Amino acid sequence: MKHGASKVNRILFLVLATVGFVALAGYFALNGNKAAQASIDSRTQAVVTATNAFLDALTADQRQKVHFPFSPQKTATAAKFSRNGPAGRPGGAPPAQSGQDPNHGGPPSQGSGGGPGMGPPGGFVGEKYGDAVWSNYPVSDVPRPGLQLGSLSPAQRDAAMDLLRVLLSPSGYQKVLEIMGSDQALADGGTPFASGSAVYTIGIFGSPSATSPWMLQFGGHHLGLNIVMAGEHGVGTPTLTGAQPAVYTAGGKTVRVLAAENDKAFALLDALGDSQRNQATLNYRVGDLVLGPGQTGKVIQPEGLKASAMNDKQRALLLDVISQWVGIVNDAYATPRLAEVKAGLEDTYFAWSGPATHEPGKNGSSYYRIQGPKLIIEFSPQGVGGDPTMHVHTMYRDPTNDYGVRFTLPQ
Amino acid sequence: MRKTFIFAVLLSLPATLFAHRLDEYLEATILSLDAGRVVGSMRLVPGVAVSAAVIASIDTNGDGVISEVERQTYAQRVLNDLSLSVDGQPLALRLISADFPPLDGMKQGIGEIHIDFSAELPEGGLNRQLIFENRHKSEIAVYLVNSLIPGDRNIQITAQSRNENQSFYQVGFTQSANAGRTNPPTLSGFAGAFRLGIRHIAEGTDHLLFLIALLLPAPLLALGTRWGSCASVRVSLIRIVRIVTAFTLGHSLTLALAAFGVVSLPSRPVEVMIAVSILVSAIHAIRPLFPGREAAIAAFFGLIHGLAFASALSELGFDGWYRLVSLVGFNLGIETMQLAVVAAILPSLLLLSRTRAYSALRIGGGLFAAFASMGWIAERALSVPTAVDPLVENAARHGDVLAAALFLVSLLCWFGRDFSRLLPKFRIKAIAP
Repeated sequence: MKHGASKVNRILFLVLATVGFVALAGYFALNGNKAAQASIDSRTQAVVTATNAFLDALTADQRQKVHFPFSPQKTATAAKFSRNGPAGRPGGAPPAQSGQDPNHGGPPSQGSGGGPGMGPPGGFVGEKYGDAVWSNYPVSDVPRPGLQLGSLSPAQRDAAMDLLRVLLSPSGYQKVLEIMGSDQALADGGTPFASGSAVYTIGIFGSPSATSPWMLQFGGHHLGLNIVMAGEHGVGTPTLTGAQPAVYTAGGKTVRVLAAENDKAFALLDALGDSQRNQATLNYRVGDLVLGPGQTGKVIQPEGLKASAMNDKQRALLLDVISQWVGIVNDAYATPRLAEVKAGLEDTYFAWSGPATHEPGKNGSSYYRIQGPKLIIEFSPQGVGGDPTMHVHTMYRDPTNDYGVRFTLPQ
Repeated sequence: MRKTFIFAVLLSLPATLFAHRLDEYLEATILSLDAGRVVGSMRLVPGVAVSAAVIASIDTNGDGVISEVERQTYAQRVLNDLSLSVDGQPLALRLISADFPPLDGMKQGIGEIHIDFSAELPEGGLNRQLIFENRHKSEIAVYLVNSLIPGDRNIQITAQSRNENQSFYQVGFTQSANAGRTNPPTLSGFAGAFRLGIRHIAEGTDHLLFLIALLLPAPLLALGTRWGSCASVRVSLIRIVRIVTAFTLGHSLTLALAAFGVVSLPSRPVEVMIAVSILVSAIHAIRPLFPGREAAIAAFFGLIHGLAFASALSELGFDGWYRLVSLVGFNLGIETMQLAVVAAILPSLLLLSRTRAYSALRIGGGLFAAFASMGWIAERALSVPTAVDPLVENAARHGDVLAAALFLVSLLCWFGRDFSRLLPKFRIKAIAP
């Protein structure tokens, strides 16, 4: 036996085989990754493209007003600031004021000015994440950083709406339009504060990128959309939606805003058995959001009916309610998020406070809350000086991932 | 003057136009229970129609400015209107902070007053009861009250009840005896990491399959390109110990490097390489590729397996010192489980290697590992779904039964060896010539 030679051959064979395997495996690993990621990446790429198209449509001056740095931080803070110098606006960027400005563009109805001036406003409250600020207070009270739609040319406004269309699901986009439409109806009636779609504000934080994190904020009186993009992830928490008036007429059509949020929750309540409904029903009134603006990261002791005590049909109905918020963002981002919510469904609670019925064609006056390990949803009709069925605030959070911290600040 | 003005505005507009609280005073409290204390965080938002009355009780001298004394006085007044008790024993509330918005904002119903307070939580039994009551401006108040999920795991909220307007709130909670005396987190971190290490090997069938495939030919001597007769028990044992040690050294090194962020590789190529390592050791079990160098190969592929362990360890997500503690715990867990598996199959291997049936086990096992690894390669590199995972996992789930059966068969073969000499018809033909 030629011991020496065969040994060398064997070692050579082994080395070659290993190198070959590694090369092949590496090649396929990369390609396989690409295939699996393709659909998500292309969506993120489309969002980046649409954002850049919007930025390109702006003047240099406008770009400066719409663009802010993005520096991920662990939590948001409750923002308290006066209009004279909004906190978090380095360089003292001019406060949003077109709500009070009769010369702003947009629809003929002036967002404000319907009522007499209320004097210089003072202290306001919102939630602040870096330079981003949102609130359930009107834009004149809590200025949002960025550019108001009313200050944009029609082409620029189209580019902004295109961006939302790409980033959101069709139903999410429709929801945004209806919320703005409702606020417009409020403005058309005349308000002592800035309302109407012209004062909805868009802000971009960080550089649009398909790989590194950045954030888009869009909102106004009844909308606080905070979407953090981090590569394949698009995180839509926290988001505030709301409506006043919840039912309005535009172009001869009657629109009920957040109707699915209302109706699907009643469908779930109706599908519960008597003892389940007792468990779900809180015996006390809930007059407002518990975890509204400024209350990020808080996890309250859950109450109500646990989904582990629901049957499959009831659980599907619960997911259907949750989807109304999860599904605001595009499917590429909503699908993995829904899977995450489903994974924690056994430990998800449904709590209800208020009447078990609502008038057809109107939202109900009942508060409800859905709380899971990675989820908080609140639907809170506001009885402020009027009909609670006509005015609602809702909140959608992920206490473990508001502002996408899990992806932007791993560990 | 201003008051009349605002009321004039109120009267002149339909009520639905108001975005903010109108004739109510929102008082939202969030309590947080900790081992030694209770902290309360209040948001107070007067509506437009009641703001004048609220402001009047804050700005008591009516000069339009909230002075420091007025802040303190009002905050103390709020605290006086609260009551907090545990197990029937009233607790003294201590003001932590009081934040007021400018008066203008409050007049419009959009200013939030923030008041934080705390109270000592005296020691007590296992089942405890906390009662919180808020009577502040009850004629206009809308109360909200909730508790955070306690951060201290020794405290568990078991029940909550409120009256209809939430002015009365009762929380039942259990507080185990060692609450307050903080456990050294290192201990629980270590135990958790140790368990995770054990679980990772027990469930990580690919790591086990690699090791087993590598051990299959360990008791044998290579004869050129074929496996030949068995080595002595002493030599076999030394080899097995060397292989296991080398594998441990390899994966411990990369695990430590990856855990401290020195090296970082995407998990997919690592997973593919692990499948490749199984294939290589499976082929080696059938035909010697690197006889006598099993330890070096085990060390080399151990480096790759260590990278995969690191991603499992990151589940724990500890920093600094805790990371070191959990790293050691995790690695010890891996070694423990690994040694248990080796101990379970070692006697069988040694016994069986002294019979001719061993080549059947060696080649059968090698083929199984080779097929499994090829399935994993297809799955991990090409995203081709295969049935390998459930198949191997099913086998692993019955690992104890399989190991016992293997031992039984080895015993039978061991004794059968002598019979076979006497009774030729029982002779088990070796597959390898």
